Amino acid sequence: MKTLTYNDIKIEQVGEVTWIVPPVRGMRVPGKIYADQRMMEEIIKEDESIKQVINVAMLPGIQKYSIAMPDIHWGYGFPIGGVAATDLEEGVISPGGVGYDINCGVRLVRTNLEYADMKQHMEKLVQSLFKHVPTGVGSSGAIPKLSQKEMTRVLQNGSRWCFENGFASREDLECTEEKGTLSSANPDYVSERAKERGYNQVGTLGSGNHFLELEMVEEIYDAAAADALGLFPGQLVMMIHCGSRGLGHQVCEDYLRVLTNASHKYGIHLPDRQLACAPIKSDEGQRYLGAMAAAANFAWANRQVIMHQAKKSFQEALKISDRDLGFRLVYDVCHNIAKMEEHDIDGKMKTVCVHRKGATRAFPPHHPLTPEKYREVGQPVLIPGDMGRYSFVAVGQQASMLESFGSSCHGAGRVKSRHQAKKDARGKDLLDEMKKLGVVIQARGMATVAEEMPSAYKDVSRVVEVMHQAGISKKVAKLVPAGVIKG
Amino acid sequence: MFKILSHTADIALEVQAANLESLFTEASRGWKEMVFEDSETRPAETRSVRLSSPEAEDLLVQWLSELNYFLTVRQWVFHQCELVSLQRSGVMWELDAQVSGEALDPARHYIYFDIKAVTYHQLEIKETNGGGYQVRIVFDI
Repeated sequence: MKTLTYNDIKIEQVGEVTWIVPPVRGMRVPGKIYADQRMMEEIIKEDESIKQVINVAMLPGIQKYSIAMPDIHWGYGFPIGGVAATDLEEGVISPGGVGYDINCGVRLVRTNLEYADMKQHMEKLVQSLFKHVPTGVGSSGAIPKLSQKEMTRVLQNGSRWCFENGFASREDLECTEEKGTLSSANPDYVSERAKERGYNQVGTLGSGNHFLELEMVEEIYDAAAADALGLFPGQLVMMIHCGSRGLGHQVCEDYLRVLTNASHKYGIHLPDRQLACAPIKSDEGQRYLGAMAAAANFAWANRQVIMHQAKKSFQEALKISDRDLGFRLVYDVCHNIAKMEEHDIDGKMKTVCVHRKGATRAFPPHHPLTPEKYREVGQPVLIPGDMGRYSFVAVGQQASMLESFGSSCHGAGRVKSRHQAKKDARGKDLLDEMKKLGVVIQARGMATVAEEMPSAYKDVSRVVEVMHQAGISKKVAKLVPAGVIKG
Repeated sequence: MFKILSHTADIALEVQAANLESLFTEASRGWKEMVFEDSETRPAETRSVRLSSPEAEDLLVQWLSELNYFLTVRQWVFHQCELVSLQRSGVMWELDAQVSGEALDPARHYIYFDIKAVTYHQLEIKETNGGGYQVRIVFDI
């Protein structure tokens, strides 16, 4: 077992892919980072994310460890890939532990179609998706603009609003984390400006690293789990990655201000202003939790309506029946959220507030919150990579409950700045380059395509492998991209 | 004077100015260049902005967020500050500004970076040795 040094702190390897940062300089608990040795050396060298693991460990009421997933990188306040659970009595809630894009998440939809039969229709399919799913900055108008009353219902009910309005099936709700509704949502705690940013944005992708991707199941690692999830080799599937759009960003921004004041009020020392927080049981903490849950519901409604629009696109492009298409939700996970969950703390089950920022819930087989149809294999974990290489499907395993508050990794992480990626792309025919890789792209602007080229991202397979080795989530399938729409 | 700095996952502006009013004006120029690069914008219409906060840094976040709000919600493109007044009134900082701009026209206005949020990351307005001010603002993109 190795020991590595970060700013005079000895980081000890305690397992093949597990490292411990001892509690120093005001840390209330140790830090725990999942990475192989090479990754760990890169993390120490590359950025300040370990410092952020240390800062998070200073939060009042933090339990057991400040945890980081192998896709850890620098974020605002918490690192991206950070997980922390706090005590409900003594602990705090921090918007920095959730992120600006509340309930940013991933949805995987399967079809009965095989990529080999669909390859010739890929251009047509991508165009149809681009027509029905608005993308880009301030994109709007997938469905008629919400009234104030409807907005309140979306914020209160999330996916259930979709079900009541014909955008979702009962099965869709069963296959969504929390069934797509956090009942703790309080729309009254969401500002008018945040709502204003959302009225026209249900069913829209937005920009940046968000995407809708058609993918082929290239490889199956676990036949029984793949079977339970309805996946087979050569199958055409669809992945959606997006969140709560401008509404969620505004909620985060509004409450960073409220919780900065609350931190002063309650005498909480903050090593970084982006870690602004308040006691969970305080009025400020409760208001943020209510608003955050409302934004999370908005995000679930957003991804559900996108799925509905996508189905329409398939039917329009392929003139195909519902039965032949077989458009079914595999699962929908969020990777930016704070939730009340039961976990083992020093041998006793206790409800704690789990912050997951760039981390995915990964509940194991037989967990009561793992959907019944997946009870024998574990909750699906969806891990997008980049649009030129691959993404992965995994399932939660027992070690996640013991080691990481039921959490796994969430993606690849950037290796190149967006500015640099754009510079590197100058003079290149990016669409042609991607076409040579077998990927058809349609985007609102070439700048986003340039930002998101595969060379801008780390290899996600290493991240997935670490989680597999740690027994936290087990690899089920590898998906390769075939068609992409972006902002 | 401003400089755009690139990070792995976000983008930052470094702004310097002789006084606080100019710092806010320069920051808005930097925001515009970051978002639109060299797209031509026109002063077709003027809007008033009034903001207040106990902290100058928070006011700066609110100021740039307002320009972002004009773009993403109102579909309105900021051209330039026509007037900025910034003063302390009791415990509050107050900003009064007139900004000019025009309706978003996708044919002319190419959005180079979608700013999703103006962050508080290590945000501190510092006085420089020469009596001016400087600040570094990190944006979530």
